[in-house]
Amino acid sequence: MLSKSLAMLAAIVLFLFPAICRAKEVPPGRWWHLPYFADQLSITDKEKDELDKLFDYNRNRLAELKAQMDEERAELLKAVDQEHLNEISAITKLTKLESTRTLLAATRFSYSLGVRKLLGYERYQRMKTVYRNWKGLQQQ
Amino acid sequence: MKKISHLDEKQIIEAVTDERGLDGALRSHLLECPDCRAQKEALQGRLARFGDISRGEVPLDFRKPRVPEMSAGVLSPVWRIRPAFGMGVAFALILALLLSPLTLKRDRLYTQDVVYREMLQDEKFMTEIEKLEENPLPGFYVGIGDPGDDERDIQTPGAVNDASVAHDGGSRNA
Repeated sequence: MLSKSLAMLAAIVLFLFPAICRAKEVPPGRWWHLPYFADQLSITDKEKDELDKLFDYNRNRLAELKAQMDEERAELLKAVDQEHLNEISAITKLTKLESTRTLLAATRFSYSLGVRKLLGYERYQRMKTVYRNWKGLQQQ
Repeated sequence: MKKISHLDEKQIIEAVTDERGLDGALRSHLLECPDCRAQKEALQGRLARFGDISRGEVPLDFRKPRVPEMSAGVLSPVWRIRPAFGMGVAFALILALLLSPLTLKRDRLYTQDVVYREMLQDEKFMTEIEKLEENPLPGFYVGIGDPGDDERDIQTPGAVNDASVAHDGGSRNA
């Protein structure tokens, strides 16, 4: 039963992996408030508001999940470090941790998805280029 | 018809202090007779002058306090009774107006400096999230089974007796 659920979690993570990697394409923070991005991508005030909402919700949720993962990691560590090891309890805790990890990855990805939806295909592609250029400018 | 003579001094005084106490016939005479009326008005005038003089002579501390009708307080607005409260309300209104989305400019809220700082913080936060995603296990368990992290973990058979390896089989990094 446990190994089944672990395998399922692993499958979900593997399925999400390419998408998770894509999450790095979006610049950090509220980049839409920088004229550099806003002007080149023609982001309207209404879109800025929507991006603000999306960002606030996403980062709050990520912070919650991170705190939850920290707690579950501590619990797992406690379970493993016990003198009389309870294998089932340890694996249950690991499963819990893995499911939170999957949720965390999905939440992070949902942010990129939201940005992609809001900007549309063309502007999203342009955003990636603009971001790459911006990173180059920052390194100079 | 009975003829009424003019009011005497006592009746004139009574007419000034409490006219209703006078006899009906005397009251109607007072209304009709200009001499008696003039006497009554002269006495009233003298009394009023006396009152004015006495009010002027009384020290300030002994004067009867007079509450102006306008500021009686029953129906006047709260801010006229408590100026501090009024000022507080005015301040809160100004603050609410300044902070309302209608007046607050987005550009003023997100200055470039603020956005840059938040971008750096967010980048750091997202790096932590990525690390958690990559490996949610506690640090010690991450090291196990990942020889790429530390090449010294790869031991040659001859090196097993090395002092850095604990007798219980645990790694020196534990």
